Amino acid sequence: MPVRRWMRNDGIKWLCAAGVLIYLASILLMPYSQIAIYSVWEKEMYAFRPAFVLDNYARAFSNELYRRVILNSAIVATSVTLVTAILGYALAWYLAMYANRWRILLLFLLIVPLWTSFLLRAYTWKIILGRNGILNSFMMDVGLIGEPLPHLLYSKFSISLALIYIFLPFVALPVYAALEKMPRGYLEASADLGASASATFRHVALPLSMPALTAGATIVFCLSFGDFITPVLLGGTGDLMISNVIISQFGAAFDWPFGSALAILVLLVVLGLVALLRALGQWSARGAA
Amino acid sequence: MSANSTSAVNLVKVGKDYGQHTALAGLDLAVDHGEFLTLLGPSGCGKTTTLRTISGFEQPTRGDIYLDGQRINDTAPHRRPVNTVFQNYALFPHMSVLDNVGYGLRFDGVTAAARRQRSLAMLERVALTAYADYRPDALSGGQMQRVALARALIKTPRVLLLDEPLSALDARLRRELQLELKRMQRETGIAFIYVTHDQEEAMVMSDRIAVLEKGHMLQLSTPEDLYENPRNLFTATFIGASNRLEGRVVSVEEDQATMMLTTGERITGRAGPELRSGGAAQAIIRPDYMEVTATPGKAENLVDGQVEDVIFIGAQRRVVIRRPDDSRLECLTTPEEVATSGLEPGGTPAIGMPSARLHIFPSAEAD
Amino acid sequence: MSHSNPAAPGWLRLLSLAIFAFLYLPLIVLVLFSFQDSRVLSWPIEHWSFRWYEALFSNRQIGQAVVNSLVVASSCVLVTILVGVPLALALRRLPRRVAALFERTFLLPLIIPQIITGLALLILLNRAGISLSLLTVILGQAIVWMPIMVTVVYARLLRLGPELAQASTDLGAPPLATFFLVTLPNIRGSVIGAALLVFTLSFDELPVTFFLTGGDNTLPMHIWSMLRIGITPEINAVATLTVMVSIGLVLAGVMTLARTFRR
Repeated sequence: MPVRRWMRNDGIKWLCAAGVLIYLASILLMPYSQIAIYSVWEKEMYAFRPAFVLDNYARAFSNELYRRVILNSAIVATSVTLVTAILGYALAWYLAMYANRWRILLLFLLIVPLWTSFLLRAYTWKIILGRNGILNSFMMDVGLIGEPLPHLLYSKFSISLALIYIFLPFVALPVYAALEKMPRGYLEASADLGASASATFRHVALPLSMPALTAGATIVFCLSFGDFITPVLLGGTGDLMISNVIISQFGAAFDWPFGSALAILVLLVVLGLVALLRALGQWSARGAA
Repeated sequence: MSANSTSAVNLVKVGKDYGQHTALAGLDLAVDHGEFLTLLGPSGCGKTTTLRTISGFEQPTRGDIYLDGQRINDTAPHRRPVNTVFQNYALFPHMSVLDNVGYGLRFDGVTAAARRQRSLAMLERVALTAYADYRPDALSGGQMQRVALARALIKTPRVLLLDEPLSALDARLRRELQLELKRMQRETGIAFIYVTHDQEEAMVMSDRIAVLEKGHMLQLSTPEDLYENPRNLFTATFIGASNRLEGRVVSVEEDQATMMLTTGERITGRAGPELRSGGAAQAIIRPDYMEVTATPGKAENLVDGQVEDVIFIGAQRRVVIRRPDDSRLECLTTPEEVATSGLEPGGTPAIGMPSARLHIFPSAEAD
Repeated sequence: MSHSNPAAPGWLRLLSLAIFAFLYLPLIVLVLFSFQDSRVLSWPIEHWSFRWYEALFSNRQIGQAVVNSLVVASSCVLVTILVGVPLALALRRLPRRVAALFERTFLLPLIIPQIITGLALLILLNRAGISLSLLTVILGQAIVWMPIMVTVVYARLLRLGPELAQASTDLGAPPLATFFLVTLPNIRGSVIGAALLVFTLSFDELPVTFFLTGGDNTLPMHIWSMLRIGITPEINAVATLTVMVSIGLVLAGVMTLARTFRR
């Protein structure tokens, strides 16, 4: 008798938990852990030997070339994150506080590009920034410059520009959602108590929308850090980013263990940032309460 | 094994624990066929939990539940011939009113044509035929409640469970629907088990009321019996209005007790259970039984006090008395009495309490 | 609140306008150039024509790539529905805190750069001795886009609440009947909305496909190889068409999802 009672209520709950765990373990845990395993293997001629060595990680940091690649990724990701954070927040602020009549249309315009091809959106900048591209031609026609600017394309500038272009909505949308939900009463109360507009912004609006901003910025950083498409399309030879190196390890260079080690590094950066964000969020929630 | 075959529902020592917390503590309850029984109590008292053990959505940790003499603990909820009217109606938003009402009949093997016919007939009984093809979100709260009722009753369950079905409605609509529910119950002859925290609602509708507090059933009786003969402090104060006087028990003799109030007067009244000489106690008496007159006459249990206010409430007057310890007593009396005794603020009339109407209970001890 | 908002400061309005222009100009440029007649990219456009679209339609390889993409995207949607909906239902049964924790873990494949997921699966398949094909691509993409289906359906289930299913059970419906007659119709909008989004994302996906594809190319893969070779204006035509289709699908998906909020 007791067993059957257990089976009905809790039984189903445990079954569901088990199902979810099985999915997480097989689909998430196992694949990613394989990378970790490979990252400590050795490459021997044309095969990979199971081992437990940290050589691959050492190489990533000791070799000048790879150090530069990691630095490139960090520089690009950071600058993209900063610019999208500022511009995205400004746009969200405008949408939430002022744009009443056109709001739905503007939001729609903001969302739609998100779902079009990343590849194609990056590609469009190739057309625009090239020596014969739109921007140069336009500036020459107008008389701004005498000769086409050479480094618009194939530089960190073009990589970053394309990524900013693609990831701006990733910041703007969550911040907009947070600002929109914020009771206007807070801002009015602050003004009523004598705070100037910028003070109100700094002490009321910004803290309340900070979680959304940091969440969006984190996603932008992670995705920029790990991108391989924009460096290939829009970067110069010295602008390789970490994912390009990873891909070559799984392609021509054929060094899976090394590639895995680099992938683990990227994974650590991403997961570390996410964990940091959560910790900050919980800490500030406790402090604010 | 006391499976009473004349009971519609019989709960025997039914208990429910959630980890450390005891929601229900060994409940014994027999619901008769065709009766309207209300589970009454404040939130957290276990009334909804009790209901859900009967419908099958909660498994009791111990105890047995019998339906018409058959033990149903191990029967799945969808197989029990018991139906529920939910607090928030739970009407299916993607179906018409008609389809909502006929939904349950699908699983009784009723054909679509017969379903339609019976649903229409049921809608007619709740006067909502015109809304048959509407979606639930087009209906008002009261209308939705009637659809929910129709949907449950169409299956002619052995027992109908109602979980605070009127709490989301305004006072006037509530009163209308209370009478309608009572009428429905009489017409169908099905036992209704009704859950509410509103004691007035319980008094209006029920044949019997079970008063619950913190998982225990304190008293099970007719509304009148509960009103006149409460068996503990909680029941006395939860149901109807009451005056409280504090003091200590002087002596207990069978069903009578004498008490010394904190303000010094000695009173005698009906003894509640577990009254101990010397223990702290409270005396309870309803405002309608207080006697406030100019002269003591034959009044029993006189206490000191001064008239603070005389309030007009239609055909009666409420006289508020201020006691020496600054507590208040409320007395309901007639305009004639007020005139005859010259009751007015500042006066000191004779304040009496008939001992037959005075209940003395031990004070709730702090553990 | 119906009180009128103060007008936006001039600089903010200008900035917002500039940002929207920034967001859409490249797309407009793309569309314009797809109708350019000459082979060389130049501005201003001298001659307009449909020739690149014509070339596109007679290009066998692209045609096959499109078919492959359609197959992969539809299969991906199917897999995410068949696995994601039950997962969301399972999450529903768990205590709220536990479910929240699981949900956060579910979201990982969306935050982790897709190439890492791609190569993780590559290693796994390699060790298991499974060869690469469109099937492996479908598997990889399903893993990446599953979180979208799960979180959207789970959120809908939470908004739905347990009462409807309880009412159905109370009225005598066995569990399966409750699912098909009550739960499913009420989450249908969310499933469809999420499915449209997954389809669009899958259609344009590159990183995971890159690692897991056998010989058959999807459209993004084909475009990628075209781009490695050099720019041909055909790419502009393909890009324009793809972008238009994506926008159409997203519109449909968003509108379907928006309707579920009205219930």
